[in-house]
Amino acid sequence: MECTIQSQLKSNQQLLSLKGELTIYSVADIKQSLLEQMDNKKDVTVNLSGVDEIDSAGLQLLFALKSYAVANNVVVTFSDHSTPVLEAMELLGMTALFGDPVVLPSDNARSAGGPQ
Amino acid sequence: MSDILDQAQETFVNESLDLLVDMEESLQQLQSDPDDAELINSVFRAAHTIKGSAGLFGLDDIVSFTHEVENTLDNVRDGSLAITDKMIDVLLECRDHIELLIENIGEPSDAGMQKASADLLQALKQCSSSEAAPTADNETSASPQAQPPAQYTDKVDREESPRVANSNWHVSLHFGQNVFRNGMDPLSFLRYLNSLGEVTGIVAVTERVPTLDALDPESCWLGLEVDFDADTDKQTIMDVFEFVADDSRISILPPHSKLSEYAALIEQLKIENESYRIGELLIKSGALTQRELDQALAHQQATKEDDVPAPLGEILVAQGSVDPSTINAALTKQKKVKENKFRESKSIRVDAERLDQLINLVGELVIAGAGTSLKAQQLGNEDLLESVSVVSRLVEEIRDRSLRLRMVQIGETFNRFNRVVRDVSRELGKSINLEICGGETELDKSVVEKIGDPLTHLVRNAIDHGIESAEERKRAGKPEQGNVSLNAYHDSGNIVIEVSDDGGGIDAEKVYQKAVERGLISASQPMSRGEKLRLILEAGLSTKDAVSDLSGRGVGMDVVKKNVEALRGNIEVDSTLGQGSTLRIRLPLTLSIIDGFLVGVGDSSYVVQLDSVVECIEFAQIEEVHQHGGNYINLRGEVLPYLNLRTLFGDNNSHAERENIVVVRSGGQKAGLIVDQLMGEYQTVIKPLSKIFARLSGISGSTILGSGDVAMILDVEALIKEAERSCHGG
Repeated sequence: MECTIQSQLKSNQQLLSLKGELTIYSVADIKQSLLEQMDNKKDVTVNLSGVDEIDSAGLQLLFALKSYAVANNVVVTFSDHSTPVLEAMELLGMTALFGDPVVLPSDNARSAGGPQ
Repeated sequence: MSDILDQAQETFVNESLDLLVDMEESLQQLQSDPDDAELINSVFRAAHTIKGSAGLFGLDDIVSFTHEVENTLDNVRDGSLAITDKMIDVLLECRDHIELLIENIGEPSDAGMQKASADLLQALKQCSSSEAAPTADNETSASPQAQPPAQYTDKVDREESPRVANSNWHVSLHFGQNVFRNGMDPLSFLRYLNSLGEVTGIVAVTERVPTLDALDPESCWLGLEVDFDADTDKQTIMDVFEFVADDSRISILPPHSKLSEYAALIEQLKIENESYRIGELLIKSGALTQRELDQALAHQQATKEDDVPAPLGEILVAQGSVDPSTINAALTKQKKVKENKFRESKSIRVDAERLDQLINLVGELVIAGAGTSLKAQQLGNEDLLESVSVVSRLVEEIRDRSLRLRMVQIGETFNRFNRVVRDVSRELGKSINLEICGGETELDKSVVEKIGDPLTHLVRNAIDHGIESAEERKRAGKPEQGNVSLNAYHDSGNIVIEVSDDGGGIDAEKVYQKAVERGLISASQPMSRGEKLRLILEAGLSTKDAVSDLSGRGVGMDVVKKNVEALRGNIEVDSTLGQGSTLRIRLPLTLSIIDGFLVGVGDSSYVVQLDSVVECIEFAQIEEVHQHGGNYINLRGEVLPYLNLRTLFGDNNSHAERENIVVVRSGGQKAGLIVDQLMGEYQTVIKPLSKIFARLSGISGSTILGSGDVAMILDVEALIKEAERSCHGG
């Protein structure tokens, strides 16, 4: 089961959609593809609806993509999270890190953290 | 290494149990004197010390439970909580629970126990929150209903070694880079954690994750701060991460860990990564409040300056099982308590087995001494006789002293009944006063231990069946408050323990009829009033028609009887209808060595316990009375039954020229024993008879004489009964 990436270029936006299994077995390849796509220096929306399996390595990769974008002054937004993605993010407590368009780890306004 | 720990743990258990005894006493006194600060302090100290020491051994269950108890006590101590009867009740239950926890050390924690812990804590919290509102003078009074969380932080402020309010486990996970490559997925750990309990807060630590261009996507850079609510132990959680434990850094902090432990965690993570905002993360995941974090950081500074670990501490720290500040606090506390103890009573703990060995040896020494003095007498050398008598005197003294080592006052056991009476009378809604007399009476430690349960049963019975309800008492013209009394005293070489009540008494006829109904005795069997009363000790008989929770099922009294008999004792029942009953337990003073009186019948020797001998008279001087078909002697106007030991033990040999009568007494009854020779006082080491002779009536043991002969020890009680029976029967 491979993971594939499809790219669609719009005026000032780039639409990417990930499909398949975003796991340790595919992260190395996906990383390369993502890096190439980022060369366009445009804001990116990544559609995750097609991701039917994700693991910690996959989430780490997505996070690295976000922080890379911040470092390069572009905006990366994830959209249409599939259930497996949402579930994994929730489990690892990363929803807040991703869900917010502004990636600031310390911003815990909508944190999934504890009641206190 | 583990030996040292085992020993230390044993000491911990012993000391904790002692502390719990103190705690109970203080709590009880608090009831009558709720304002005594010293009493509250002593309860607090007990809880505090147990908590600290338990922490040393990683007994998290005990630590977390005791901690809550201690918190409440602390609030009482500084006056923000008023102590009430209800609270004392709950605290007493908590005390019992701690005892249970300590007794179950080493056993796998079971759910029932944890539920009990949680229930008690809940009750305690209710107590303190309902009490806090009117009395609190600090910030809690700002909000009319004192909220437990607010109180919590309050407590943390006041504590000397503060703990966090967080009642969850905190697991700090920093995975090694190879975790993914090794086929592990942190996600699956979390799924598993969720099956063990509830993950209440989780924050992913992503600071180490490089940006995409620099990322080696197959290496793991993630960390997790997890707050985890589960009834489990550290090992179980540790096991979850077993496969990644080698190359990952995993810290697990139990619920209500010390702030200092969090401080240590923060510091460690800081060392690994300067920019790592662990403090914030801890707040975010719900592990700490901002206030606690500040305290933790301050604490960190403080502990750095005054850390002087003690030896045991060093070992444990070297092992990595405890953090140094915990140890220090616990050890200082322990030391203080120990010093206090020394000042109060200079006592040494001795293994019971060693004491038994000593007493066995003393027993042998007594026998050997008797042999020596016999030989000396035969030789007739005066110098030798004199020195032997000195030795005998010393041996006797050693015997007494070493037996006294085992003697304890029964008062401590009696005091326990304050609690029993209190609990039971509450349960039954009766008002009962407990009177204790003769608490200073001493008896053998092993006897004291074994008599506790039967006594408890008797006391419960007295309250449940003996004392009537308040209305009934009023109708009968008695004060509303019932009276139960415990009394102990020495009587002719026995110790007598009485449990009496001023209740309705036992209807002997009713008991008798019931026994007939149940087929325990046949209706044609004539019985004296005393015998009828004794029937309540038989299995399958209850004096109460209604069966209550506590007693009345007709099991129990027979068990009491059996227990008492196993101690070579017996029970008497005495009751006046309408005025109350007394149950009298009569026990031998010690179980091993007695002062005996040696008598001879034919060629055999017998030992009578010296304390039960009233007098010795030549038989020929005594007037025999033959009345109502029985044989009696007339002792200065007193009519006594008598028994001829020669006939009793079937010694048909030569008739002695001169017979003597030994008048013996047991429990208010007297009888005469006809013997041939009076041989005088004799120190007797009791050797138990083998089981074959267990049913033999009239003999309670044997002993070895100086000459090497065996002498039987007579059971005076049984002989007196036998004498009465044979006299009645003709």
